[in-house]
Amino acid sequence: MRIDLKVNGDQKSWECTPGDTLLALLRREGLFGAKFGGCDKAECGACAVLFDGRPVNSCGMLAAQADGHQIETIEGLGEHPDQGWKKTDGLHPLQQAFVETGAIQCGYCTPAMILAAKSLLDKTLQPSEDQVRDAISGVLCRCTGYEKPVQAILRAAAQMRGETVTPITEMPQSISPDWQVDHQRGDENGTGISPVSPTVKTRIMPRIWTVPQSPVRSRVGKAEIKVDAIKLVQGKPAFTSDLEKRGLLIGKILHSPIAHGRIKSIDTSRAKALPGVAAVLTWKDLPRVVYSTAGQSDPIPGPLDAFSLDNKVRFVGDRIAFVAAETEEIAQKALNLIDVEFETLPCIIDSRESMKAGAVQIHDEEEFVNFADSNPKRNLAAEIRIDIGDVGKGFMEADKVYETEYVVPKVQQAHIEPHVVMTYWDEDDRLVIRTSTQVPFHVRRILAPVLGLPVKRIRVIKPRVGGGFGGKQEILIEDVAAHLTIATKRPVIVEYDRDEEFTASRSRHPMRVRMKTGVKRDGTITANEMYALSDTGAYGCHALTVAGNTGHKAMGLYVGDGEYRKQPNIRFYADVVYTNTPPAGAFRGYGVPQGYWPLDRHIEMIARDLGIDPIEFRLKNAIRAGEIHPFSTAWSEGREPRPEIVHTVGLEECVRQGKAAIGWDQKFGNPAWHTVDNRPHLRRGIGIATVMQGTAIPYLDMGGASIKMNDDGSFNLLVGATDIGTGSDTVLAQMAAEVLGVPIDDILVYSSDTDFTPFDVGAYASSTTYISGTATVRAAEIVAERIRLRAARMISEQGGGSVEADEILLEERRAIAPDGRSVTLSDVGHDSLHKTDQEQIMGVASYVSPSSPPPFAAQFAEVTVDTQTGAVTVDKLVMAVDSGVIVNPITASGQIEGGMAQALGYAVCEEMLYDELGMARERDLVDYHIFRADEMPKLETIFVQTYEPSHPFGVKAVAEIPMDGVAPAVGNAILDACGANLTANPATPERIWRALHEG
Amino acid sequence: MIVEYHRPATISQALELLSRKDPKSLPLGGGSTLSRDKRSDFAVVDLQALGLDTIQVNSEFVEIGATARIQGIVEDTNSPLWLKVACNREMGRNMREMSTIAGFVMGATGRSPLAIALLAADLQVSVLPTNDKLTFLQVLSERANIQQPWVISQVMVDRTVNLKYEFIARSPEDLPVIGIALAKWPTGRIRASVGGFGNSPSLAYDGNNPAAVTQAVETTLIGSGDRWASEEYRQSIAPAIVQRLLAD
Repeated sequence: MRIDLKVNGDQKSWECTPGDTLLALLRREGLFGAKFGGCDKAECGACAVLFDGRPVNSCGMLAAQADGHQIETIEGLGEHPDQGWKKTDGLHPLQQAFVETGAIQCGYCTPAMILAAKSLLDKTLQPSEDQVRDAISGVLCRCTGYEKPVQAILRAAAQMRGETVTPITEMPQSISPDWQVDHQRGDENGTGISPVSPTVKTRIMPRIWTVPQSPVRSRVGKAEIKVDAIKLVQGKPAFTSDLEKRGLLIGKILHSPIAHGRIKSIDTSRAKALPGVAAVLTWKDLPRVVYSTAGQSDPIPGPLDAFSLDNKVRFVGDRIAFVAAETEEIAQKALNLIDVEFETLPCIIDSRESMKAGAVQIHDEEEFVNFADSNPKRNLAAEIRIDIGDVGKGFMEADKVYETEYVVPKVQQAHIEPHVVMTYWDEDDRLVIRTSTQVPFHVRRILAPVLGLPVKRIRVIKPRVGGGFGGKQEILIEDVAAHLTIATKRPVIVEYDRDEEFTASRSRHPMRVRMKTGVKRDGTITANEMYALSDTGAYGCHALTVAGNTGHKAMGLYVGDGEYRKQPNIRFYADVVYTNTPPAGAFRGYGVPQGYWPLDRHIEMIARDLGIDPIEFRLKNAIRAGEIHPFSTAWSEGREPRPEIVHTVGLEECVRQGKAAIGWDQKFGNPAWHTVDNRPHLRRGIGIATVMQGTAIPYLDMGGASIKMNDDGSFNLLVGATDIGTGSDTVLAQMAAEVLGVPIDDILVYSSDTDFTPFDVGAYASSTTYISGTATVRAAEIVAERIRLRAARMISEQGGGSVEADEILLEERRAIAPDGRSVTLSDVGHDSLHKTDQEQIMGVASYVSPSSPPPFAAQFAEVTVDTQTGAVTVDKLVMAVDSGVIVNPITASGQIEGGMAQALGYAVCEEMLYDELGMARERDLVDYHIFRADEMPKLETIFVQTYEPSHPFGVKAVAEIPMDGVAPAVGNAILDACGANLTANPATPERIWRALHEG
Repeated sequence: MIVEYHRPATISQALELLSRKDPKSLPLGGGSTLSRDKRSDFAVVDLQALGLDTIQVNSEFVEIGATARIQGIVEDTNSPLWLKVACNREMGRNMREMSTIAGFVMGATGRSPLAIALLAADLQVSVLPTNDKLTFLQVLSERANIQQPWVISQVMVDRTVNLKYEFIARSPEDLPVIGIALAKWPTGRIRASVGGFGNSPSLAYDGNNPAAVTQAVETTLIGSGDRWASEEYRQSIAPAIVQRLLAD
């Protein structure tokens, strides 16, 4: 059928089928700003467009419904202001505000959010913050925590009504060492608009407390605009599925309906006979290559227990067959025509059953490859036994020993862009894998044997990634598309829907954790013991390393005091077991949030029982600067451990700043504050959690960078590091720009492509700014040295005496001699390529760190609990974090805000549960609720800048630590409010109610 | 899958299309997840051109046309505040801009805050071609077995009702694990509905005795235990919620 639409002001007539969604039509016609979120109930909103001016989710409407209506997409709003000789009107004020305020992280939901905001501003230019939050309530964002998008919209509204807005670069950032929170901030009236000044205040800057030795730099530390912001705000086709390929086939996976069973027979004849089906693959068609889907360095620190396709299924959602077809509908029909007969086996859903005598063996394949202490006969994917000091002696010396068991849930990364991959043979018969991944180089290495190709015949391209959070540190579906391309010789795209994300993807390892802690009456911890029973699901991806981090990063924080500080007594044991549930894997925090719920809740409970101030108790026993990280002597992700000194610990300052920000001293222990007027069933509470993370994996994580100079004085920075929305491309550019003395827009960043960019392990373990950043700085220093040599010659040739290279300063796009003579970098670049002693000025460097300097944080929560129903409302979250020097305060605070929002879900509403047959309760973003813009508590970020000496600019990690402390801080606040002592999260109303009633 | 799309200009055309057996034809309101259904071939009859999107008031009712959007109800000055808030509580902005009231009525689940509220408010539903007036409760109980042609033309919200509700959920905008709505009329009539579980909300009480509401709600919650909350929990907290609603 033909339909007539007015799209972005142009009347168009388009062909579609009656069942085509509006989203499918728009994308087919090249309007890629509307994104596919994979949802079945149109719940994510990434596909939003304006329909007669109203925001609607285009995946939930038929194209035919739009016949005769006006559609606006992001492509119609604004564009890059400078397109060569053709000038444009530039970006729309909303787009400009999103760019300036750091409202864009991965950018996948950005077009939808901007369109929703436009709909609001078309009606009023005086929106309140509540109106803004309601306007974007239909667009889920997993990256930002909504703070900066809301501010961007308020800022754009102010600009559109003619007000002056403060340039972001002029906004104050620093706070003095004696700073106290200002409770009279003019912009805290809930509107975002100052009541006295006509000038809107854009609340995007974090507060920053800086140690005196931090040098002031020209690019590092500045709120630079993200290097990918302009393209993302225009909805450019930057993501994996935005590429158009002629002859593209749609790949689909037939998933298992049962939790455990053998495939007795499989008949694909009816599916293959369906017109439009290009290939149907089963386990019989593929070579049997055992591997691990975990995207980790070689050798994989875990068992090899997976096949692309197997004759056995191990969870509901496991793979049975692959189909490639001309259309999605045909592919879906073909899946339904595959006849499978199973021999159903007993299944294990509860991890406590896995190692019991007589339990069914989930991995009985002969190809299984053990790693370390894995043992498939016991359903044991990994085992950890770490003893530091003399734990038994420590317990003997304790005045009191506390033991409690805690439970942490399985949760989903829920990146808005689903897993998606496109594969094709290029003209050199090399297989190109364009994929939304965090680990392109691991994809290439791990898939080579699986596909029967040498590494050199595989090229992996990582376009922009619409969020990962660890979920894309997995070789999840790249092999599916690749096998189908090999089978059909045609390009294939495989894109998960949201149901598959929940049933056939990866998640956080759920754990049962038993804590045992010995303490003296004065609050000195004499011994601390944690046992974790971790559920890796049906496959052992990340089984060992996630659990290892649970102990390493959590149990490493509290070493004890006095003599115990010198010789801590710490035990961490873990069994990671298989069950017939969807596999767990990497998820932001990587085992550490699982550790901090039990550890910090336990610490809180002990402090209260001893009658010691909970903050004093924590700081008394916490590790301090100059001490050895206790776990560095005992464990290193399955490799040889080497002692590491913790050089910087800003924890005490984090506590001080965070307390001031949340008003701890006015609230904690104040009975009046805990009550709510005329609402006797409501009680307020306040809580803290102190946490420690890591920065990269020492002696393992490696990043490379390559920089070459162009003849206009600009530079190409090629990095294997994978920006998944975190802003890593931007901070790497800032570091290069700092060394080379240029503005950031002279640094053209490209990441990542295994053919062109240097190796990098990828985006995980909070490593990019630290590891890839150091590599970038080193590469830039090589380039800078070549520039100085050439500039010295060029300046000397100007007359006025000779200049030595090491005297040259690179600044403001110039190479400057001490006497003021200078040449431009453009002149240097031109000279190097076209004039004298021609050379390509470039530098390549890499970096592996001998240490993993931990960031620290104090996380605070304020809650209100309904003591009759158990319902809890989180009113405010504050995080004061020591991440070393902050390279970009906007992108870094965006990481903190987004992480807090994600952690808030972990605290109160996110969990994945299964019935006795292994069927998932959560299969969409309705049942699996992630926070919306209109229900977020107040968020506040404070950076306590220490100077980490092992990095050229003093940085430590920022990305993962916000996941760690929100849940226990909320749990502690609930305890403070009403006495409910939760041992399991999330803190659902029923759990709180039970804790209240069962003591 | 959808094999035909129709946008009739008149109600009679719509009913005629919907009366067809081959292909089976289904009415289409605002947003649609019908395109996800790949199991059988069917036609859709889009009701957008029928002029059923008006919101009007008379002395007794707010009359909301079948294709009026949920956001339209929020923005209409005639909508009572409780209705606006319940609409906002039901779904995010984009879905409110897409969803029609009739589509909502036909698809609402037991966890739907708006459905819990509308059930307590004793929403009336006008149906074509019979011009029958059904209660929302009747629609909820019969909607799975409806034979086409059958189209909601409008719903009517009693303007005299005073309605309060409370939803207990994991977060402020999450679907409730228990929700109770209490409607009061000037005549002394009281209706209480309960949701947070099941395929549709349940009517717990319809009478004039405030003292009987709590017991009625508790009785309704027998067997309510599901994967989201236990029966014990729901039954235990319900009296406190009811008392708050009655007291307010």
